[in-house]
Amino acid sequence: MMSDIRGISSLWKTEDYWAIWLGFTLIAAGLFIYLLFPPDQMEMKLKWANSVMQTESESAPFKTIAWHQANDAKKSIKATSEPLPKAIANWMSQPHGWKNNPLDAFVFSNEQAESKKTSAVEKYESVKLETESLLTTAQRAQDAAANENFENDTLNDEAVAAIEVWRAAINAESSAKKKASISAYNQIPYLIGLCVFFAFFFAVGVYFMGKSAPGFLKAFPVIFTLAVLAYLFSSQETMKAYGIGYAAWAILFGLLISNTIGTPKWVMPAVQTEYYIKTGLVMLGAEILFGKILAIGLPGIFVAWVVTPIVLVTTYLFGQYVLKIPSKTLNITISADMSVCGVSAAIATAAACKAKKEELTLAVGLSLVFTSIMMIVLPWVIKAVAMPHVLGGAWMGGTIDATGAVAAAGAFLSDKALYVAATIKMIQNVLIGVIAFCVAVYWSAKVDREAGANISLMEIWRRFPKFVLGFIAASIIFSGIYQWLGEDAGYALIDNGVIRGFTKYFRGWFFCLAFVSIGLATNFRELKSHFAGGKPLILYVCGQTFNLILTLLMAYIMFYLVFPDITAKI
Amino acid sequence: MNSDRRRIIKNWAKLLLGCVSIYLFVFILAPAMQGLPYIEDVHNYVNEHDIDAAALFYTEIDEFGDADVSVRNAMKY
Repeated sequence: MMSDIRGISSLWKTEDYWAIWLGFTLIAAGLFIYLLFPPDQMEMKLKWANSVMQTESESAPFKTIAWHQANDAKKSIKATSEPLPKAIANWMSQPHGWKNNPLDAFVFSNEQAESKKTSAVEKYESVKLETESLLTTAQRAQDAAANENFENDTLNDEAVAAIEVWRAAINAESSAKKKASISAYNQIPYLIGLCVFFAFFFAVGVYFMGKSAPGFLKAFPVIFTLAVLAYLFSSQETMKAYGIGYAAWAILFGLLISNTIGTPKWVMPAVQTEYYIKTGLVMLGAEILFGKILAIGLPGIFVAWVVTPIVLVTTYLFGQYVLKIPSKTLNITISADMSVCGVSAAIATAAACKAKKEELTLAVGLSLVFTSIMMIVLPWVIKAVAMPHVLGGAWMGGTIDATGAVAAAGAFLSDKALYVAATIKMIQNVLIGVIAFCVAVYWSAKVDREAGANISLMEIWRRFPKFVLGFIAASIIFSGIYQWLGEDAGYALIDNGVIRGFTKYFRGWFFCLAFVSIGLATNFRELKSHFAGGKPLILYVCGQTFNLILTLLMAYIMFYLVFPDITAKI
Repeated sequence: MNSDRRRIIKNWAKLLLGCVSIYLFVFILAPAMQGLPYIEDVHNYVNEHDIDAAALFYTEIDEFGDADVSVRNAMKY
């Protein structure tokens, strides 16, 4: 919605500014909770883990057992493991996973938990025994290599292979442990509390923007219930495996209602797509940590930050000049969705260029279909051609849209493929901030301008979506704090504290509310008109083909020709 | 009045049909497709390791955090 409210009153009368105020209130609360209560003896434990890894890396030409154990210990230092964050997670949590009975997502009795636990504990115990035996084998192989001062290549290779087998067993053990630690829960009171909190939280802005706050409060539970339903279906075991997330379900449920019985008029005051989405995007800004782009060194930057913008711009130009897609906003939303990281990039780009809700819906639908296919096909191709897993991981990380699907496909191949795929995707995720900012500037200064007309800086500022400033500011503040704390403490307090323990929950709920609102306000006929001639599909397929070729080429050049030393270390 | 009533019934029937379609997809079609070669392997792995393949952002998946630390440490030490 293009606001005509100008002057100082826009600070409390527009969605853009309210998104910033509400987003930053939550961000400040998160920072207060997590930075003031760090994990016990965090610094000492980090120092110990680092010194062990340093010593081990100097003594052996490969990652030893002690190195991995210190690495595991370091990974376990998280602010989210403390009691207060655990309580917050309970309050904010979405419905739990389930398979056949949807009630299991909300209520799980002591008896049910105990019965599930019994078989899970048995499995865990057997996996644990196997891991211990594999550790002994790995230790023996490592000792044999050490006895030769790590100068015997055959013994070194045997030790590396034995350690890899042990690591795979560790992963299986940790999954089994998670399943064995199941306990009873009743999510319903928390969900009711959350609904009340969100209703009043957003009603404050609604009131100041001159809309009906009582009308909003009355209608909000309907939107929230649909959001819960969307989360419920996304947590169903089969849907989770296909990668069909809450965004798709929220849109689908909204569409189903609005295109059958119609969205009741009294619900419309709470159908506030942009209000929810912009607040969610300000929260997302906190998750964009610029320090992460160096995670895997220069090869990662080339694969994620050079290839991705090239693919994005090329696909957009292809859509404009070859396919002649009538809507520029649809074109850029699909291009960003396909080239950057699926739904999250589509949301940020669509909001930055003020795309129509139907256009965002279309982009989300395309992403969903292609992600489900690519997360199966790419690992199959990589295995079939015996592609090295570092290369395969980089290829998948750079090309599979959805972040979750990258984790699934990478983990399915190997630890190494997962590490590279996840890191490349994470670097690509960070790119969203830059893309959203550039799109907002380009649209304000160029696209929205009438042909041939000069446009003043003041006019550009007026058109600029202000919430983007909140989004960028949150990202800069969190990136700064992360760097200031240092990577290790930043990981424990910011990454696995404020973000994973606090802001991500709010952001998820806000996006879900936004997608429900999109569905409730969308007409199938309007949606169909945007798909005219199948051009969005052609755009997606052509862009993705180019992406697959360029990413593979760049990953090969970077990881195997220019920086083979980095590849050897992974 | 009658046409209004017919329209309302038709709309509710459409809603019901939509709900039935969703049910068929979630509980019949999608699980049946999981039996296809290769899809089965990937999905079994995803379920076994409780990976959220639908996650929107890297912060929603524990595996990303673990990968980040492991890669950083592998490069540094």
